[in-house]
Amino acid sequence: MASPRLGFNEAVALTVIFLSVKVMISHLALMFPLGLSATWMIPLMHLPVGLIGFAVLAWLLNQFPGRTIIEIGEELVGPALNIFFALVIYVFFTGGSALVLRQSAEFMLTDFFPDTPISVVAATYMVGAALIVYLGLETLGRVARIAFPFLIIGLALLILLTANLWQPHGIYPLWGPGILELSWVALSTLGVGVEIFFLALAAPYLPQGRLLPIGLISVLAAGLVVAAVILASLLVFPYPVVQEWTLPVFAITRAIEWGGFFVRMETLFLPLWVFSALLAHATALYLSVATAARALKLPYHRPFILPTVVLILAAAFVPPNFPAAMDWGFAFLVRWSFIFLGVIVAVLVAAALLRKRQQGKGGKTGRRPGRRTNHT
Amino acid sequence: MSWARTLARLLVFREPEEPRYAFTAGRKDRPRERGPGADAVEDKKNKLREGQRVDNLLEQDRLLSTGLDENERLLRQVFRHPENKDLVLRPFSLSTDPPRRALLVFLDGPTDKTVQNLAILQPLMLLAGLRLDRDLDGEGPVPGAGDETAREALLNRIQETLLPGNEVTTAASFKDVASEVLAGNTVLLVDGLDRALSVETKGWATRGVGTPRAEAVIRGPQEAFTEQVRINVTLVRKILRRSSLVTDFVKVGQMSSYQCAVLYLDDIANPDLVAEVRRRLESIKADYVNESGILEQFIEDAPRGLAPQVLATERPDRVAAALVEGRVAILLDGNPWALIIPATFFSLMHAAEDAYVRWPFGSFARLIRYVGLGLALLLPGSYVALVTYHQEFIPTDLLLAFTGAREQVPFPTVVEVLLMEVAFELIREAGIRIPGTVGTTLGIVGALILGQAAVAANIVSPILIVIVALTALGSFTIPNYPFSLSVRTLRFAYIALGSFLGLFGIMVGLFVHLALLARLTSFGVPFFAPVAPVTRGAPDHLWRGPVWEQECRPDYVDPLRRRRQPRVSRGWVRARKKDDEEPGGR
Amino acid sequence: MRPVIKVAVIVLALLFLAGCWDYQEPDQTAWVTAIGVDRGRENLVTVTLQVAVAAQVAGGEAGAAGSPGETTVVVSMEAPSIPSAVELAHAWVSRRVDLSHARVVIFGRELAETDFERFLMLLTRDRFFRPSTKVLVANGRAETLLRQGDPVLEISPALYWTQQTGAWDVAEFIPRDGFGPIIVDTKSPGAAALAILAGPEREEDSPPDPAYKPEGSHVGGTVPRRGGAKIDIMGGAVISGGRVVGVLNGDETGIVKMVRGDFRQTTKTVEDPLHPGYFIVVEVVLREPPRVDVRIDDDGTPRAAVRIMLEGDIHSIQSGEHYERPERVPIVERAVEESFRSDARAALDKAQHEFGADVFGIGYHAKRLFPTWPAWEEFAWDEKFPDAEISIDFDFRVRRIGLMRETVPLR
Repeated sequence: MASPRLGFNEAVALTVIFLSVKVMISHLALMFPLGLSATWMIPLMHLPVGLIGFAVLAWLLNQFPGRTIIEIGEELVGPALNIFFALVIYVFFTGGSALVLRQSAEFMLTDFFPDTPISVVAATYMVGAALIVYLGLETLGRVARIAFPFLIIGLALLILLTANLWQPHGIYPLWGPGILELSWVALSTLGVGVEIFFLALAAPYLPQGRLLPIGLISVLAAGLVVAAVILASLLVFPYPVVQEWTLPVFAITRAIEWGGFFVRMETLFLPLWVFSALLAHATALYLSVATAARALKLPYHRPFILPTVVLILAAAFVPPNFPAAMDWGFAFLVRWSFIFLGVIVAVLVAAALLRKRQQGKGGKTGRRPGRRTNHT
Repeated sequence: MSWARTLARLLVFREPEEPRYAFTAGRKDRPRERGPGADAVEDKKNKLREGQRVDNLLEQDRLLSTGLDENERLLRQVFRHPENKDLVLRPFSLSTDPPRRALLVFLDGPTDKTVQNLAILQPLMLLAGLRLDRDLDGEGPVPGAGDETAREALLNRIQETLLPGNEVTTAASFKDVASEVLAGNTVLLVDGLDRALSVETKGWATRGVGTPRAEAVIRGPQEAFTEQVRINVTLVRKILRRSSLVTDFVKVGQMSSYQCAVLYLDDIANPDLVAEVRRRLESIKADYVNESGILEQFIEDAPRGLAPQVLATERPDRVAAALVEGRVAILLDGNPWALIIPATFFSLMHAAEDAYVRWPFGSFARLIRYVGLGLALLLPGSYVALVTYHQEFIPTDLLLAFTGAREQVPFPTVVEVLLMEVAFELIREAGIRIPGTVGTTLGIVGALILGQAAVAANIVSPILIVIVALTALGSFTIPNYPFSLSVRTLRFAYIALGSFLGLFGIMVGLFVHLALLARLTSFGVPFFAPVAPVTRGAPDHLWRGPVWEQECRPDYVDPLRRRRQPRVSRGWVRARKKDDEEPGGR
Repeated sequence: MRPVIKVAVIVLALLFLAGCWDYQEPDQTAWVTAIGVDRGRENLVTVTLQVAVAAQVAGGEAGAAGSPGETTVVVSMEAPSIPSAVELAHAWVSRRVDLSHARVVIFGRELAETDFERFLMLLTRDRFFRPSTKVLVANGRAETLLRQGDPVLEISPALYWTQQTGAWDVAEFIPRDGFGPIIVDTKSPGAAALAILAGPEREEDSPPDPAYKPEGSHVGGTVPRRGGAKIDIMGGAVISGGRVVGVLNGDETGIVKMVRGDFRQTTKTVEDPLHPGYFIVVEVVLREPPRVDVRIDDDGTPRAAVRIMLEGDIHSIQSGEHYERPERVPIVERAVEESFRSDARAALDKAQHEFGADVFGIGYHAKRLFPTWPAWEEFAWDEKFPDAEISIDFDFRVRRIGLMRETVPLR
């Protein structure tokens, strides 16, 4: 099987969509009570942390060209601990995907298909995601690349169409809960960016040496997209009201009103939701499946698709109701995920540093080629 | 089992007759030696054996013998002569000294009689003695001798001095002789020679070069390929006068080998691509590949893909343009459609004219075409989805108009849409199959009865006619016929999805559709090539950039020469000097 | 690749067999164009639905042949809540009732003055009620308002509501806000909302009094007029603390719109300062967005200076006085400013002392002075607003004088 190749543009498109899909689900709604009128600053405050964090991750990955984080873990901390790490990653992405799936399906039900069984909507999502994961990472990247301009233009259009409803007082008081409080909120919600971990598993398929720019551009773009959406929501529905909606972006879509004709535009933007959700589900599914395949040292990821899909669908219906799914999703994906994955990356980076120092002492010629022979 | 027979008789009203042809090969219920079928069985066996023998003769490359009678006997067998009235065996004698017996073998029909008379029979029968061995003095004794050199000399003499035909080749085996005869050439067998001479006498009827029927343009050449591969190659060569244009012939098919020309520019096309095309063509072990549409299915990367992966065109200018880009063209004899390889989504959506009009209008035409593609694929499905699921999106007045128009219609919207779409497909299919003489009635039936009357009878709502008409217009804007077939069929899938899950269903369907397309490759080139994956090249996929910006060949073809023209291609444009007049001056 | 596609096709086929859950034919649906909510007579609320008769609205050839009938049907029912009322409607409305095209929701004034928010909230969670829906307060009962009959100029009732409430940009006395801004204003500290006030055409004329009155000195339901549609829209209902606390007449509504920046244009008839009994008519448009300058004194009293920049054309000068001359234009300008100023005083007085609600949205400007949200909450603008010192000043400039340069007096 020829190894897939993910070009620069495809990788950026996919990563940006995967990172910023959270504006399409209810995570934002739960951010507003924390950030108040300054919520739009939170993604901007995440940016430096995200950029530095990714640079560290990229350093680690670049030490071992051609390998994913799973193999690097095995190299650095041994198979026993690494299996545990892989399990954490697998559980994290499967669970996260399940909660996001539940939310996007619930959203479809609440706003478009009130009488359709939720299982049908969720299953339809997963059929699409599973199919494209079956077809491979390359196809996923290409579809993301094709959809990307449409999604970005669509989102920009959505935001601009609300321009006549903007109330400039929406961003005041400027500092929301206060700078300190805001920084703490930003720190505790760093999990919104863990999706960048995708690149840690896709690294071998990226163009040589482009990992760092891909990640940095993606983080930057996604941060700006999220900030822009939050800002637009705040301007249309200034603070105390914006936290009422389960989905603030959807609320502003519904608010669009340009004369008597350009109203009720949410259906026009439905493709935005469906496509971004499908791409995000597919990417998360790929992540879970690839983690499993790598951890078990199988050359193919396809055998894991069906079990993982079943697992995701089952887990998606664990939350008893929509509010629970929202809260759990927020806690799981936004609050705690960064700690889990952060610890794994930190341990690996520490191990890599340690090893590097030892090698530096061991032999003067122990440059790259020498180290590589050690590994293989 | 009499009750079963009775039942069968009741159902089919009479007992089926025994088939006249004995389909007995595998049947065990009837003894072979008995009944009226026995002789037929024996006949069939003989026939098969005979056919096998002839096949062996051809396949084992049995060489001609020196005896004319032996050769003639075998050739008669090969061509089933007494029954096959097309084969003509014309015995005569060469007017050499001493005269020799000779035999002309050819098919009546594809050969040109004038050429035969003037260029073969006349010189051999009358003039063979005129130039008696004058040139061959030094080559030893010519006539009579049974040894190798003498035969060789005689063959050379006939070939070089006696046959004025423009293309004379020798054939040593029965297989070669047969294929020469089948190609419309005349084969000359001479007693005592173990090789035959084949003289070019092809003279079959061909259609003249006509105007393109499926790819018409307003600006641009009005020439289309015809059924003769030689003429087609000429048409390309006429446009592309370049010594590096290679025409490589490959035979495809087994039952009847067709001449298949592979055209490429040797100094531009990627040799790997050319080799791959050749490899695929040569590997085909098929019965009957007589049409480029069939050939296309044999060489596609993914025959089950949702879109054609080869671009079929009937325009020599398009082939020439593709060759210059570094692509490879395949022309099949007997077929006015050329195949261009590789093809991408964007090339399927291009028309020849895009480049011939000035660039803003070429780009605009493309934009319209993409809109047409969207309409053809998604409009009926989206209509169903919007009207039955997302009514809040429709402006209230329009919705009330829909509602009012549908008040009298007894069918659900989906049924209504399917009804009209199927009716439209019927019209379209009938329009192609209808004999030209009664063609005008189709317009009356289609437009009047289906459009006007269906609405008047409250079978469909008038708005639906608009939808169907827009869809039809959209599908006619797709320039590539095989691709428009694909779109036309998939439209029904979108109607189903739209009626089942509204726009959500359509979007998921579109996603899957995109994924399946994105995975397609055409000879290794991704289907959405310049966009996903992103490759470099000239501005010529979504929109058509100005001609002077078409500086590079598309990267995904990986041509030997990337740059097609320098950065400043308009040599007359004066480089701006420092002390040139300011803008607005002069 | 193939097995997966096969499985997908089979799954989809099975789903198809299961049915289409939200599939709804438009001709089996009753499209509601307006909803009325009143205090109930036999239950908690009286809900009135105005349903469009699609066959009449679509009209076309069928409509031309027969006599044009009613384009709407109005049904009212008593129910405990609005969604239950919708369900109840199916008892005698043969089609599935769909509210997604409702353009306006009208609340009876009685209900609005006590329980407005409770019933507004009943609607906001539903997907058919959207931020662009207009909220009207009926001067009287919403039911009576909706029963006034069909629109006159429009065939489609939906278009009627859109056009009628969309006239805010040509008439100063119609508030702009739909449900979205209203909900923001009622729920944000530091502002009160303004809903459109509507009323049925008055039944009898007022006693004759042919003296000068500004055209905006009325509210919906008392507009002196005859003919046309049976519903008037003028003035605004001030919503604060979850209920309607009072109404503003047309001119006062205009002032509120100016301060909020929603004002587009108005026609003003002012008395000629030099010739009492004669009038000058000017067309006034907004020159620049209003400037609101808020300061907070050390003792916590807010001070706000609002400056509204207007410009306009002279329509007519009854007295024939040559105000068109550049040096005399300021006389007209001052007279117009003074007229606005008196409206502003009235509106401000009502807002501060009668309603105690910041319907001008000055609090939104005060909000900028606070660095953090808790500080802003703590300041409690709504309590301080009645004691705030607020001045509204106008700056009117005449730009054009119409087609005539100078009037030649009658001889």
